[in-house]
Amino acid sequence: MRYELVDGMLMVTPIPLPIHQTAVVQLSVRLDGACPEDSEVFPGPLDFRPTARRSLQPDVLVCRVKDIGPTAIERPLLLAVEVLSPATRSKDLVLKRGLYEEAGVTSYWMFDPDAEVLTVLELEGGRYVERAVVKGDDAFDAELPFRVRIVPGELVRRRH
Amino acid sequence: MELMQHIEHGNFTLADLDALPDDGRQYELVDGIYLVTPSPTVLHQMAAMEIVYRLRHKCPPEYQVYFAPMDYRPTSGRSLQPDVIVASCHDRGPDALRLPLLLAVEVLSPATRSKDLILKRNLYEEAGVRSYWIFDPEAEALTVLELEGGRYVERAVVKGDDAFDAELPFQVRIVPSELVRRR
Repeated sequence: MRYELVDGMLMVTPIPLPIHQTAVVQLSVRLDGACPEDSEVFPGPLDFRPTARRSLQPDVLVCRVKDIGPTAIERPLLLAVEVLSPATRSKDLVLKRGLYEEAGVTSYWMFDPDAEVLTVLELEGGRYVERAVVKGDDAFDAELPFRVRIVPGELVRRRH
Repeated sequence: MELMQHIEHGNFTLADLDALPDDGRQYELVDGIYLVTPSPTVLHQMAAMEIVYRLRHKCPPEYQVYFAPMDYRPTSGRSLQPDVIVASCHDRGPDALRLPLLLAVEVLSPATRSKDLILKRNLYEEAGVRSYWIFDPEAEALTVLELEGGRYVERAVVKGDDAFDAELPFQVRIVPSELVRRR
């Protein structure tokens, strides 16, 4: 199970579904293949601790190498990715959006594996704006956190 | 005999929630995740009690005022515990409230601030809770949200000694500073 802390409240999330984990691996692989030397890609669970009372576990995260601490990352992430599931939809779409925004996470991607839709949020003046919503076989060419092409449909199909 | 507990992937359920031990913490369920909140502070309980007192004093007979813990279960995957509830007497089920509440009140604490301001605002809105009051006992500020076309609009933000004369769920006067006078 996944335990996250928000200001003294504990959020407990059950074991994820296979489709969720498939998408996490596929996203991690694509990001890792394009990641420059000064950054690092981590599939969860890894703690992101923006304050002394918050511990969040994105499904995938990208941070600067110099920000990697011994047990957790405390500096703002370059990218947090959440793969939605029926259990985590409200948490990811509503609460974590607010928490990542407050923490200064530059980019927040939400991927819905059932609908094969990737929603890309990026900070602008301290608030998230929706940069792109990409579906199915349409390609998304990200500029942040670095250049990488993501095709939503490919994230949930088995590799040949 | 089945000794091993079956753990379903992807979701905690209301049945899982009901099976949890009563350990003094607050357990809420949101679509399969648990939200676990520690016991509230004295200031929090004081303010919640004062709000209940004022509401009960003005509550018409067809409505009922509830003090937490009382489960509000708007869907089969959600169980929420507002600090204070006003609901119609007809909406009372055997174990929990299920129909849209007339009023949910949350008293902010450091532990629940984000949950109350961000997540629960959205969940109550989705559930059709007509009024949502958020009281910040440190700032002595009451924020009043009311549904309009399915979305919450901020009807009032009242601070300190200013009085708020509510029309919904019924006529009642709330003065924020009086809710925490004894702190």
